[in-house]
Amino acid sequence: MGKFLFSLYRFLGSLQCALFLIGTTALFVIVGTVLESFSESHLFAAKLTYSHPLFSLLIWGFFLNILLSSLRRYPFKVKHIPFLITHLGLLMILSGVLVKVYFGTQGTLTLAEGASKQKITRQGEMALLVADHKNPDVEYRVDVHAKGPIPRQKDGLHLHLVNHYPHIKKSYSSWIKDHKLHIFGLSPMPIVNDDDEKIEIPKSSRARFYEGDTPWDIYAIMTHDVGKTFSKLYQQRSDTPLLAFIQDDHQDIYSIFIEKHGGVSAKKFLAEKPSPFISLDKGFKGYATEWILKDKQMDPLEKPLLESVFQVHGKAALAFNLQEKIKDACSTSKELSPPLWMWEMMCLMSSIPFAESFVAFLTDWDDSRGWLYPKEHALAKHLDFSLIPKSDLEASLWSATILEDLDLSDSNEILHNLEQKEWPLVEALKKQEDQNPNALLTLLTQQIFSASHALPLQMISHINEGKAKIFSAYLRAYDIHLSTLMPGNLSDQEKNLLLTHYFESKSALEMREPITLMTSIIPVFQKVQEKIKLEDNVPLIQVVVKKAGALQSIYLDYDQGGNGLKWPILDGQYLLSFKALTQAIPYKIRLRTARQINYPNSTQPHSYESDLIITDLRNGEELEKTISMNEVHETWDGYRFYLASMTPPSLESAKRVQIVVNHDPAKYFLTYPGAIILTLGIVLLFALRPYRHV
Amino acid sequence: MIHYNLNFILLILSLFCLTACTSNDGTPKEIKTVEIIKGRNFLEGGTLTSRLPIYRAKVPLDWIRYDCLPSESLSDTTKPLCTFHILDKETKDSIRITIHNFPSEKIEHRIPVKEQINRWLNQFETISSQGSVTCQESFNGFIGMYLSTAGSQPKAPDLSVLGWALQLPKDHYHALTPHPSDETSKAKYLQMRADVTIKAQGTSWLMQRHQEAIEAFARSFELIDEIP
Repeated sequence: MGKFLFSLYRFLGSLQCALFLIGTTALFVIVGTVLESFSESHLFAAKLTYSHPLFSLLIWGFFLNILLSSLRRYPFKVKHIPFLITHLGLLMILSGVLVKVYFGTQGTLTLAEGASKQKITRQGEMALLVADHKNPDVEYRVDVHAKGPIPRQKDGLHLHLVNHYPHIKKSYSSWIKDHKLHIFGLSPMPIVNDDDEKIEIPKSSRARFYEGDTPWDIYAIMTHDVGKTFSKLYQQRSDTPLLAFIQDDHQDIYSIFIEKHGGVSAKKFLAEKPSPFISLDKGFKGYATEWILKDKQMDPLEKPLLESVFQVHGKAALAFNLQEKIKDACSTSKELSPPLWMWEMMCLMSSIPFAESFVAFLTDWDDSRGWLYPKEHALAKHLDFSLIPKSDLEASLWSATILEDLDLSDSNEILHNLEQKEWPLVEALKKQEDQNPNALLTLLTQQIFSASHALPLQMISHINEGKAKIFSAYLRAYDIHLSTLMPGNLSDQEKNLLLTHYFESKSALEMREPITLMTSIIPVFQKVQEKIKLEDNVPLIQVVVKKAGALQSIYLDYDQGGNGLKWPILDGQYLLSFKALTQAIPYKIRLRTARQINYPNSTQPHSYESDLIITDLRNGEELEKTISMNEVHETWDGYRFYLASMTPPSLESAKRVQIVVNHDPAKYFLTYPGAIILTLGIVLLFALRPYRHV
Repeated sequence: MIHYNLNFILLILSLFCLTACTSNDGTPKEIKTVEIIKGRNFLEGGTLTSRLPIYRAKVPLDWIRYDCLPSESLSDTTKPLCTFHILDKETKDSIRITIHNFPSEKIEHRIPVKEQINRWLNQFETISSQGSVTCQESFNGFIGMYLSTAGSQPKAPDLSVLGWALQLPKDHYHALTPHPSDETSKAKYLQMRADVTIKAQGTSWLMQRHQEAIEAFARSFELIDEIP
């Protein structure tokens, strides 16, 4: 036994052992580097290498090897002094490392400009935070792999860690929960699944929102296709206003109000984060979201809803817009084209509103789908063709006559008919690039007008009949038709704008007073595959809470930043959150200003700087200090503050910086003195050459 | 046997020399004092509320500070919280720096900073050929805009303006909106979350001379208490 111990003692202090330790450490470092590069995760690599217990064992191995290699020289001689000094330095440095590993602190501080903190977030350590109405928040360290009771001393509240899931996806349920529609103040309403077989969507309930008013229909629907469902709902609606809550496959909810004229107000509540997010009694009564229906408010509609509304009201909205444009043109005394002027004169004589009556005529003409207005028109009867040049009247008559006899549906038929009628300019029509019937007819009308002086005179007396048709031929010569006056491809924004103006004109969406609908928000968790990049995982724990016979289970997802929501338990007696463990440090750090320093004449960052006020809480001393990427602040008691990153400002938030805080308690009495002693030992070894052979 | 030689002594000496260094860049620093600036008071039931210390800034010693009388009401936001003057002894020209704040009960009541900048620009009849510089600023918890311009105004043919229109970002504003029942924080937080303007105006040549000091002053302007 003694022989074995002696051999062990000799081996542990030997050069071979030192080489083995160096080799193994190098191997760890190589594996760590490869793993980090492969997984892009420092945490993943550290878990298997640097933070592994074997790595700590290696450091202890180094310590033992150096200590024993020195002891093997016993009894010491003068020539051993440089060697012993060197090894003492190494032992002090390694002791410093071990003290830092077991008693040191590593954490981060995320600070916004103007704010301060005195607690750091410890990396990789988790905690359960318990808050109540009276006492300051308390954190309890949680090891997610150790299920069982979480020690808690106060007021008989027992916490028990039941389950842990390495990675989850979080969303929120708002209006629709447990297959029911929930609105504060109303009973839960059943949900309807909208599938293709159902012709009509049944309503879930009715509710009266204004005293003495007709109750509104309420629909709660789940669907795969919001556009199709909304379209169906929009078509089946009656004069009664309706509220609809439609949930899609992504669990997003469209809340929709359709008033009696067809005006729509809608809001989308994202499952990822419904907005607004309202805390009730600072979260003790939970969280809620709301939807406010205000007077004459038509928010821009999203694609699936917009298309359906535009399909029904788009033409009317465009006509209304055209009517407004004509009114504007008249008010700015712009010169009107002859056919419009003729209509205006007729309106003046008959005391009829010009813009409205003209757009109504165009709409009616467009609805008839004819190239010319096909029938008699009550107002057109009063048109006075003597106001326009005689040549224009002749051309209009000829256009009406020629176009009346043509089959206008097909380009070939048009050309064939014109050849049969020996129209002299038919070749020019054949050469026309665009052989669309409408393009051919426009060109033909213009040909007739250009050649009108060469055409035989018509019987002017005929114009007492078919005045609307002749007038429409005249309009065609000026390329005036609803289809040519209305813009073709409209963007969603333009469509929204048109509909808003249209419904405003109809006094739609008038509310006597705003209606606020509210519902509670609850989190929904979905277990998903754990990622190799551990930093991207969101762990979830299940905690059972007991107090005085009351028992409740709650799921809490990990809140890395520590600024997330706390969830109520036991009827709002407590709030809980699962977050990174924080630790108070003896300093309060206030961030005044953070700056990005760019390379000259460039927007490329060269460095980041932060102006801090560091207050030592033990004596109240304040220090103003600027730290940067390469300028660390070190305190007398071993705290180091590194600037790690900066987030630019926005309207929502001021600039933020992340500061890495490191506390090495042994730095000044072990590590640094050890480094000086080591240097001295090396210098002595080289200078005195105590082992040289004379 | 240990041999002491000259090389060894030189090596030790050089090590000592290498560890000695200085970070002093030799530039003389301007002496400044930290000035406390109080918020507005209001008439409540016929009596004026007290003005609470809200802001602080570093001010060069040779600037002259003017405050209103303690009995004066500052509920009118056109009145500045305090004014600083930079005097040129030779020409008797001066720069006037005014600090205003605009308390608001709700975030929706705040005026966009761009409007404030436009208002300042509109006060000029003509803008100098060098034009105006406006840019985004963010410091000490405030976000906003910076304006540097020169031109002529009806009563000042040669006027240069440096201005900052500042607001707290939404998260800070909400952090300073206390619970309705929290009466103690109410008055202080109302002042703390107020929008702020800092405007310096004076002749162009004097402004050029003091621009750096004025900018340093504005960027040292901060709330005394940190954002909770």
